Amino acid sequence: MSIFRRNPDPIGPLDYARRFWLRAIVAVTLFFLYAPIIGLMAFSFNDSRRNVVWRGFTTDYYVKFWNNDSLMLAFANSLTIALMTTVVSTILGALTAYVLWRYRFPGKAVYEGGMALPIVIPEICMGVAMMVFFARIGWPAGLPWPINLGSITIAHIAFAFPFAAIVIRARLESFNRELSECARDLGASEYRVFRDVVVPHMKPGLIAGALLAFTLSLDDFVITFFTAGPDTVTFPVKIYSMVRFSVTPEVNAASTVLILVTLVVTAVALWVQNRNNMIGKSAH
Amino acid sequence: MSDAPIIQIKNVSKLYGGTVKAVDGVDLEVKRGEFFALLGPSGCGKTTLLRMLAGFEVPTGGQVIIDGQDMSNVAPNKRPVNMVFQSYAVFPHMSVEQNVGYGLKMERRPAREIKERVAEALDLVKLGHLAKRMPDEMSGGQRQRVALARALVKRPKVLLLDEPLSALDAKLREAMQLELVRLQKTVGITFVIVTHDQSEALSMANRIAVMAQGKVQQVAPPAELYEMPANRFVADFIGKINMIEGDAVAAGDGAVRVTAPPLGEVTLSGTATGKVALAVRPEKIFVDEKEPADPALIKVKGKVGEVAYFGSYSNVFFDIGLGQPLQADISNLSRDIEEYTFKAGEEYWVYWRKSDTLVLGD
Repeated sequence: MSIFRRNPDPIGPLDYARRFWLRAIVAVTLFFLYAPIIGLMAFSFNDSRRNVVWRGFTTDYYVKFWNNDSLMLAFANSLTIALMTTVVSTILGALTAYVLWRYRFPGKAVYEGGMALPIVIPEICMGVAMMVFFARIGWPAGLPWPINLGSITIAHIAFAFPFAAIVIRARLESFNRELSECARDLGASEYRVFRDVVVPHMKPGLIAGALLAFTLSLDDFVITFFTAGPDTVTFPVKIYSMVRFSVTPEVNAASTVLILVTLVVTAVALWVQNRNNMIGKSAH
Repeated sequence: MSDAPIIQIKNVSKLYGGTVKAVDGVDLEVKRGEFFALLGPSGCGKTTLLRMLAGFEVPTGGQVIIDGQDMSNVAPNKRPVNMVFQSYAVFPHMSVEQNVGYGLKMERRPAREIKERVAEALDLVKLGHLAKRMPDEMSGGQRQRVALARALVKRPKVLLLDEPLSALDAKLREAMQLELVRLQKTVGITFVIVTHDQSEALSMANRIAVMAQGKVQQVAPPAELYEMPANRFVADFIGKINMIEGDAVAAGDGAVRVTAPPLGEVTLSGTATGKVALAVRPEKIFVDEKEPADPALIKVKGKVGEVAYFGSYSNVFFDIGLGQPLQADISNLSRDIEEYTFKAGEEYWVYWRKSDTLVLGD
């Protein structure tokens, strides 16, 4: 019936979406956020070496990327490191979060603050520190794949697990302690309480933490740059070295693949988390 | 054996941070098959006491004995008691059936037995048709029934209930009160309920322990608690009561002579002397336009102040020349509106039986 109305409604106090200024701000924000990324993806299909003007559609550069052994190795390195980092960081993060949430012990505040250090320390400092550290303890070089990725993986775990711990800790805050008392009352041991009641509640946090660790590790450049050797180049480091020569569509193609991997992982994690939230809604 | 109390609490104390006494030297016995209530205002230590029975709190001093067994070194998961939590604590990721069966699974019962007993317990709380539901698809009342079934299926010696009705709306709460009493009679298990709601305790329990500041003030059946409160706190906490301050001296033969200014001098049966309060329940007060002659009455002239109409009775406040008014609950015994209408400023004789008057010491 609103079609027949002569005068449209005046803009109500809460009709934010209808105010020009807000629309403009949103539009500009979205433009600067996504235009470069969409441009990058579009130009990965550009049939031109120089990559400045559009010269027609091609998937040649994806084929090139696929056939570029050093780029593929870097890609495999990155995925391997990210997967190992994810598994270890999530477990370490979950245990850290549980200990900080469940127990009271002397120096807890100090420990909690110390745990957050890798988050606040500038990445460049952490990178240099890691490099010096591994050089100092004489970490062996030239090991076979994938053991040679050990030092990078350790560095990644060191900075990624606090993020996982914080996310999981936040999730635990919403846990109703009567649930664990109830399980105990019904005859469960401490371990069974953890397994049957606490972990199911933590699950969305575990997934979010894992996702965070995965993307942090996959995207990391600074720390990796300092800990990577000639045989252990990761995808972001490889792209950086390619860009130093020239920005070819191959770089665009490689970047697009990296973005897609991240997007797919994020989407899957969000989907799983959403499903879990539906179940965990009535926890209180 | 069956005469021995199922729960013995011997001089139990609980200190927090070495100074705050949550529970202060409590002695209590709960009989087998009893519906026992721990009643008191928030912070009186009743929940702490219940949690000590469940094993979630360790007494700082004293002893908790359940069915003849000292519970000092028994973990919560090994005690012959089960608890219904205030939030119900229904496991959100398990179906109703899995929730109820969880305790039996922990006992490593065979699957067939678990299935049978879960079905039986769900029938007991009238949830048999919802066995496959998830908790978030159920109402608060239904979730509470799940919590009840889950605790009862373990066949505990004592069922502990922590403010089980506080989260329900008024109507459902009343229905659940009756339901709990029915359930307790059916299963014959001893129930210990914690509540701050006196009407809940009075209507459900066989015996009630009133607690304040970590101490037990009185343990008695509901009627005795109401009609013969042991002290001012209990009298004031349970129901409504008028208190008129006075001085008492012993008058021999279990009687005291009390001087209370607006009432003059009255001799009543009682033992408290010195500063006392004459206490009388509002529903035991009568009013009349003529002065009553019966010497067994205490009478005083009062002027009508506030009147609150409740349908079956009116709560009328009389000014009798004291700081606080005297309140009387006047039953509306006939349909004669005129007769039962009180107008502010009207004067009446307000009176009650001497035998309905309590002399409460400090």
